[in-house]
Amino acid sequence: MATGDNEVSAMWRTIRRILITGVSVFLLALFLLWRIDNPRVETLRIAILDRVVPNIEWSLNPLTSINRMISDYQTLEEVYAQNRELRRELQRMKGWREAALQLEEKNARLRALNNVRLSPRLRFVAGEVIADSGSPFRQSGLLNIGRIDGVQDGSATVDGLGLVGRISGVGDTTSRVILLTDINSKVPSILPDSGQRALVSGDNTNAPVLDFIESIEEVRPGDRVMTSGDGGLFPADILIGTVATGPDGRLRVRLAADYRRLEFIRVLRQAPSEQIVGPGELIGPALPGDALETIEESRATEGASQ
Amino acid sequence: MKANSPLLKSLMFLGLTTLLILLQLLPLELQADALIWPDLLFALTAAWVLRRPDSTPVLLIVAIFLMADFILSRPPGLWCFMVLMATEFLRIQSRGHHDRPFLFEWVTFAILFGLMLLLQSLILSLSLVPNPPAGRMLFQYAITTGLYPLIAFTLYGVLRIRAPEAERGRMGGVA
Repeated sequence: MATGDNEVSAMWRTIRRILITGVSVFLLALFLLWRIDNPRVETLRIAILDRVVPNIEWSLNPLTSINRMISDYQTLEEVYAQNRELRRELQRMKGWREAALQLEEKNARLRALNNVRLSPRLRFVAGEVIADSGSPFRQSGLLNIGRIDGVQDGSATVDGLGLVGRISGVGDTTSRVILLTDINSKVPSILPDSGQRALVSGDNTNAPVLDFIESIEEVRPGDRVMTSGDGGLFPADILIGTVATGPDGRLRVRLAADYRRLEFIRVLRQAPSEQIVGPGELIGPALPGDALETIEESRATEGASQ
Repeated sequence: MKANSPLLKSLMFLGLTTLLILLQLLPLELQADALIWPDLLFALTAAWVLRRPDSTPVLLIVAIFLMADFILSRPPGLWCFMVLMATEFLRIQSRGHHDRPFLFEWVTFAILFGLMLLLQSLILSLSLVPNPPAGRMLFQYAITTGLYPLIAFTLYGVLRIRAPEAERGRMGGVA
């Protein structure tokens, strides 16, 4: 009896060992596959998130709102001071509004004179942040809008104030936005005040670093940083933030978007800009061969219509 | 006797870990320098495996951590593999676990967790994946290790996850 038990447990142990080895190999292979064929595994990841997160949203929501209530209560004390400040600001803004209206009018008049054709306006879909990355080392958020709503991989996202990040991973009803503060985030940008170009690259701090500036001397803290549109991923001229000098002496960007209160985020849907391909062609009457073809074509269509 | 069945404890384990993953997903901390959460998921698993290896089957652990890898946007498979290796080691350790003082368990956990993080960052840098900043990682290591006794106490006292010998002998101490 005892030997039988021993045999069974020995066999069980062997099976177990084989199982564990198999699982380990599978896990390491998965990691390698992720490293080699990243897009495919990331598609799998976003599919899983797409399946899981909407189902748990009901449980996330109350907790999130409780947390927001607590933080709102904390700010309640500051409300009075804030109110006064806001009123002052409003007064100032009224002046600006007047100026803006006048400028707009003037602008419209000048445009009418000029017959300018504007680029098609950017459209956007707004979504809510339903979850964050869950890891202190990744800066990203999950939005409750996805492919159904017309979100595309690589789209820029903004809150009301400035650039927030880039869409990376789209499911049917969810999508992930990589924030500018993530270490994987690199955004080509331009500093209009000095005409310099730079790369805004996140490093897991609240203020991303400005890399690859040609002449640092010309950049001053307080200069605005906008997207340059280089690389074709982001539309140009979205505000990112202002330049600030970090405690380590490097130039950093103080982000315009309010990362403390990211609740609703707009995903820009950019109409793809037309590409100009090839050099210009000869201008003149149609060549004989082409002309014959077009005549035959028109005859054929006439015949078909009759 | 029903409360002691491994199946019920497994379910409890599954529930707790799911809750932990959910809590980490909450959109509370979109700021980059927000609070760093301790790796409660691994600490809980380690303490549980040491006490009740029978209620944490390998496949359950692998399933939970693989899911966590996917959901928490970590490189899929890598951390799960580390946890698998670590829990197998702890499973062997669990046999004489009840006779040893708690300090021993704590030190084991600290060394094991440190080794795992080191190995992970080694593999990540070998495969040219950008590593998280060392300072933040060290901080997470410190608070996770610091919180480990609390988790062990909670398991022992509140959730009554104890080594079978402790149940039988009704002995004191956080074994």
